[in-house]
Amino acid sequence: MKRWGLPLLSVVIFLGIWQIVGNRVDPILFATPSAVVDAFVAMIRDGQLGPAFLSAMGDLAVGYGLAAVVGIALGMVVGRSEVAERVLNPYINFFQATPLIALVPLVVIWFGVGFKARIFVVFLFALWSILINTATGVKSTPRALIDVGRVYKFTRTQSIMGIALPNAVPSIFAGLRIGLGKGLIGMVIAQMNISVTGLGGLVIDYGNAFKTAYLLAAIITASLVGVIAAAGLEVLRRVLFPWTKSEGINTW
Amino acid sequence: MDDAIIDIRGVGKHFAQRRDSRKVVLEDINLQVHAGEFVSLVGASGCGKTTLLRMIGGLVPYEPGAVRVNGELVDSVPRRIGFVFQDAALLPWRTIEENVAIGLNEYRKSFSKQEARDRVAAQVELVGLTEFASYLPRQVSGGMQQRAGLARALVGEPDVLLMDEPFGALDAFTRMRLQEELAEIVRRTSATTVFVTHDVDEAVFLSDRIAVMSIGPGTIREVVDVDLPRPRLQRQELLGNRRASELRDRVLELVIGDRTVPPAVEAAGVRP
Ligand SMILES: Nc1ncnc2c1ncn2[C@@H]1O[C@H](COP(=O)(O)OP(=O)(O)OP(=O)(O)O)[C@@H](O)[C@H]1O
Ligand SMILES: [Mg+2]
Repeated sequence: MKRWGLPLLSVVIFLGIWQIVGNRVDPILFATPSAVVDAFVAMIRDGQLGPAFLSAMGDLAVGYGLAAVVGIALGMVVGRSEVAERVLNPYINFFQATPLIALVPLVVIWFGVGFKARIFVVFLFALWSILINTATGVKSTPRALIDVGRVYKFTRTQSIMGIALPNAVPSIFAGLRIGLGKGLIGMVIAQMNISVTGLGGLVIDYGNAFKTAYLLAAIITASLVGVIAAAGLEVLRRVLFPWTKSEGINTW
Repeated sequence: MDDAIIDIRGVGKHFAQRRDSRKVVLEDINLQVHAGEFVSLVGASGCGKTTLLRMIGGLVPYEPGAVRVNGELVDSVPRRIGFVFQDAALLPWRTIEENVAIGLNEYRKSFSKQEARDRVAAQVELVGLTEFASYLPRQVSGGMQQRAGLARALVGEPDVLLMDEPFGALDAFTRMRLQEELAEIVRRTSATTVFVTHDVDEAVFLSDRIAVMSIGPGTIREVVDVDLPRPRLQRQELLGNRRASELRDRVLELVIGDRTVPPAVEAAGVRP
């Protein structure tokens, strides 16, 4: 009650004020919560929102999944080999420094305007945080644990899979969380600017049409995608790695 | 003597600092430890106890000199050793039992799965952790973690047991209990042991000999024979024992008398 009561009250009061204020201004500027709910229901009924939601989820899942696999693998390599780190560092730094949204036109030139281009954008946005955090985690294996592996004659594979990788898990998940947020941004950008499809497409269409209630319903659905994905990641962590502690931060 | 299990001759160690300076940490160390013997290393913080222990364990290179374990020159981690680390150094993602089983990794081909399990269970029982076998390290107390670290080192029945202040981080009561448990374990195994500690009473209670090190650069200043009768199984046996307090005073004097480098400067890692 203590945990949920106050936030809930805060949201209820906020929605109440929004409803009252919204009723007094032009609905194009500011739709009321009840209008948004109506738009939401209408969009589900006429079969727009479901497919848009699935399309957003699909783009995110594929692009982010690829980024996770490639980011963790490359991160392991960079974390373990100084040569690999020196070779890859310029590129990592370049992509870290570049506002990735500026690369979207280039992605279109390479991949066209379809699914491939969209997942590549998600991939590109999500990759770097995952890679860097994995490398950091692998590099920060405590000396005592390395010693344990040496004293008890771990093979190379055993010390990678049994010490370096599990030691990096908390850091990898930190990277996965940050990468998810960025991948989500990439997904919406791709759907808005590359294909005009899915949730990003709805945002663009209803924005251009000044249908504010529908626009807000689409935005809220996009947040829902983020919440669901973050929750999924957290469940994965708890199930697969119960020995890791929950971070003190709120991952929602 | 030639029957030494651990044989350290003329060994030194320096760390490269900046381009042309180097920091000499150990100089001309000579020490022989014989089969089944328990030798403690004591000395001021920074005198190189950990470095010497890690050298015996093949975890740091040395130059010049020669370290031999079981007659073989140490140039990588010797076979059949156990190492107990100051902060237990358990793998956080493995249960207590699984951590103890790591001690059998070197011999995994010579045991069946069932044999290995039985040995681990027996060792876990010996250190009183049966009830906690399936707990994760962070779910048990510091004393229990240290017991698990000890069990991991002992389960393979090593020839050589190296311990770096294994009880240093524990409260006084837990420390005393573990000292007594270790005394009992050491009595039963034939492992040759080198034990680093700051606690002179602990060293007197457990050791056959105590090597007192001095600082700047680290050398073995004197080796004190602990000629107290064995078995010694309880700390309180030594309370009021005259010989024990003489030994203790002697060792303390040697440690405290060593003022070559002011401790405050050394602690900050600043050396001229
Ligand atoms: N990797 C390293 N590089 C440079 N100097 C080092 C390194 N490792 C240890 N030293 C130095 O070697 C000296 C001896 O260190 P060591 O850890 O062996 O001391 P110690 O006797 O175990 O001290 P304590 O009782 O505090 O554990 C110290 O001055 C330390 O700063
Ligand atoms: Mg030390």
